[in-house]
Amino acid sequence: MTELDADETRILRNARQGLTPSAKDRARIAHALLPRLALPMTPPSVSRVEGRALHAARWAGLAGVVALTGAVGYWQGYRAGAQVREVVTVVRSVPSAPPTTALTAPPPPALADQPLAIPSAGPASSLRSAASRPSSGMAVEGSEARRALGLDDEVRELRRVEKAIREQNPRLALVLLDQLDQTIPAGQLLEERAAARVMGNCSLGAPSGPSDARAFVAKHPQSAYVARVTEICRPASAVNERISPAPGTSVQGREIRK
Amino acid sequence: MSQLQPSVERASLGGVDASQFDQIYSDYFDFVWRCLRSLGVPERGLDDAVQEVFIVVHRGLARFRGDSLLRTWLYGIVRHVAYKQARNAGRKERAQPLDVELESPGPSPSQAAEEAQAALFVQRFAGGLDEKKREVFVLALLEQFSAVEVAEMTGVPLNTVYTRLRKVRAEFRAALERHRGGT
Repeated sequence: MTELDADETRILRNARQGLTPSAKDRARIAHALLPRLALPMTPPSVSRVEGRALHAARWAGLAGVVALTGAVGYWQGYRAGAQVREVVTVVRSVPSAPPTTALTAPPPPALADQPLAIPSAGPASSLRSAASRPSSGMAVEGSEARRALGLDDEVRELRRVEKAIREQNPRLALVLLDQLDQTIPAGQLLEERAAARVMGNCSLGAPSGPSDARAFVAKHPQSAYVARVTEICRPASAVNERISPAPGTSVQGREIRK
Repeated sequence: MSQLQPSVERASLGGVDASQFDQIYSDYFDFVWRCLRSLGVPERGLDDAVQEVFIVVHRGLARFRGDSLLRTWLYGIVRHVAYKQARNAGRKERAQPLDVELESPGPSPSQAAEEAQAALFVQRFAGGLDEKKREVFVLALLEQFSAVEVAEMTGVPLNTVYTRLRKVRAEFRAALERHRGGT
């Protein structure tokens, strides 16, 4: 197989070594992949100084972009979510309603362990930046701005959606998903969006939640979200069946998107 | 036989659990990186290409049933991403003459410089090959997979791999001699 002379072999060996990524390359890619995969993946070993520098740069950039792209939307969604929480509280206080585990149970570890917290570094400056650019944010308009939004933005917003779901604020999650659908309609993480929407709808007690969950599982039987969607929507369906006769107290009035 | 024998490869039969992604990433990162570079992905698109490969791996891992070796499946992803990126970038960067940037190293080149020169030479050479030969060159000569492994990874008949390998080896030797003669 290797009918090469010593010099050719040496050049190939050196070339292989020269083409091998450095520790910095590995660290850079790992840190870029972490949020995109939302996995607790351990970055490859780098020097402490390099690691800190990479982390600082990453979080600083992330904080800025998060503030720029989502401050307004987040606040609107949060307000909406707060209102929904009040309604959900009313629903849960109906005497005949069983324990609403779907609304209170933490998600399964597979996704619950994701590092979703928005970094606290530099929030004030980030918000000031957001304020100075009123046209930015998830509600950004204009084709140029839309073109600038990519997978990183999509992942970032989906992490916020996930955070909202984990914090039992499905209304916020759905608002964020609606905004995401508007700003990045042809994203690359549509399966994740669909899962989040189903979970959000189920957590809200939407009547279509269980059927949406079944449709999701049928469409994505191998999805990593199947277990979680099933978990969240199963008890939610039981709750729905019991509370649906009381439309005045249910969480309706929102157009459920499929 | 290749030097690449990741531990997770042994567990590939019967499918790989998604939780093994971290291990796959660790085991195959260098392989993916080198292949992408050698298959013509320009430097400016390399980070994106590597990430794209592992995103596809991550999303597809649950559906990987172990019908093929993990490295075969992984290489299929690498090849797809590499050719897509390379086509997007055009052939300009890959088709530059071999000797343009192959100046002789300094009188006392460091090992790193020698490796960089060799890497550049190999990249230029690979860039001048058609896709079929380039694939054999990268896998057989650079990554040191056996012809049987190359056939399995590329889906090409073994005899065809041998034929391409003979041609590639001859072309590599000729390119090296041209380089030596020009320096």
